[in-house]
Amino acid sequence: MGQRLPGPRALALLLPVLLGVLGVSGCRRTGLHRFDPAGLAGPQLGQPIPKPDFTLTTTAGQAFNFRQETKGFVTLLFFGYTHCPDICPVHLANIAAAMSRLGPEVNNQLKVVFVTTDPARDTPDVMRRWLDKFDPRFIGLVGSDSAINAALAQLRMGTPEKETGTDPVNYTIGHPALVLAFTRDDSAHVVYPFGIRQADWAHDLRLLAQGG
Amino acid sequence: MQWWCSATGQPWTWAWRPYPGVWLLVGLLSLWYLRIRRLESVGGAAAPPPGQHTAWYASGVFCIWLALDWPIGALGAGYLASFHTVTYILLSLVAPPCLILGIPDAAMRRALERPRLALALAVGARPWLGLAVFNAILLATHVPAIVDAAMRSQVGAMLIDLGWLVGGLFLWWPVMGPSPAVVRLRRPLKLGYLFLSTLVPIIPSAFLTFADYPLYATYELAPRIWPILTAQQDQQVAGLLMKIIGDLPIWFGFGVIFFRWAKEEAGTPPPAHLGARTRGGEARGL
Repeated sequence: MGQRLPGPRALALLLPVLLGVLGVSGCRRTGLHRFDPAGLAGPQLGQPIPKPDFTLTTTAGQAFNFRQETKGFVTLLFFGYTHCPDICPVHLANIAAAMSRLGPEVNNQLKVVFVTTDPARDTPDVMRRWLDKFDPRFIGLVGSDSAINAALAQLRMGTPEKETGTDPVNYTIGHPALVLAFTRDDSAHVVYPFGIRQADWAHDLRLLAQGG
Repeated sequence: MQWWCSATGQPWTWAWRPYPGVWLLVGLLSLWYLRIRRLESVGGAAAPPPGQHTAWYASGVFCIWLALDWPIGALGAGYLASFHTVTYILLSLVAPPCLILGIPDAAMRRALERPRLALALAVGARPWLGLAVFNAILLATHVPAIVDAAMRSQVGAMLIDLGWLVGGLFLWWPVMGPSPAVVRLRRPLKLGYLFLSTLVPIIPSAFLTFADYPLYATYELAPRIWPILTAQQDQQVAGLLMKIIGDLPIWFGFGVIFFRWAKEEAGTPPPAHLGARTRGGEARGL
């Protein structure tokens, strides 16, 4: 006895599955899919963080609306300060090193935004000189304490805290050690805590630029 | 307070810090030597070791202290791969030959009177064993996963440091062991042995120099000391140091052996500036 072919009833049951597969494929081709953070080295967020809407000032003195200015770009957002002795310079150095190994096809789709948590010491000139040591393409934002805290509040990242008991001039500041990676859907699906290495950055930035 | 240099993740400061474990090691090595000298004097069997031996031994102990204590030891343990390589060179390639050249002849004779110790010293002088132990330790202590895991703890960092010292003693003993009764390698073979010893370090050196990214999280994520020196550049310096500077002691030994050999072949007595002659015919050490 020969093998039975699927009857019309079986095909009817399979139809939604087939349409679903085709639909997903179609979305992939047209780029309408949601960003898939699988395969990234950075820890994935259970709930994506929406891109905050705040306006601060660049080191050149121009107003910078974060949401508008970074629209369409993969954007790394990091809050820190130039006198930071450990986390900030390592994070930025590693991002810069990774970007130096990536071509323009990736780098042209990236923006790196560094927001000071120490506006008292981080003047625009200080910020610019410091950021230029890593990569002149890095965007530095300054503003008042309240404006910076409001931006942090949108991200539910708490407020920076000056370490007590330290020198009134050479103090340190507690600040988020995370770099948030916003993709083109204006959401952060993945964050980068301290400890992410250059090879991981290069791997993820390429994927983010391709898929974000 | 730390007793041994390890990676702390704390920002570097140029404020001096004590490392009592290092002092203890240096103290024990010094006390051991003083005890040998005293035994020789009390026993009356031989004269105290000549000043030349003492100077060599002191140089070896000084290199150990320099490699392990602040600042080189601390920088190498947790901040800069290049300083980590300086520590390796001092412990594996500079200190061991100095220590071996510092062993008094009389102490060596007494050691050879003990059968088990004599056997151990003779086995240790086998060149295949020297190369195997030195290269195995060298390769294992440059595997990123091992380095990153070890340097986080003081015990781990100490094991790496002591491993380098032991590996160096194994490397140099077949060439510089002070007694012909133990070291039976002839000069041409010593030259070949030293040449072979320069080959395996090419592997970690090449990885360090040519890797696309920093290999060790310890140094990549360490607070920067000099912003001008990136983690990648620091690693490249480490690779170059390992091959170029690290080979210098070996090629120096190679040169001394070669010229001694050449002079003997020419019929002139060799200079005795690197050690006194022994009863075995060939000059002591090299």
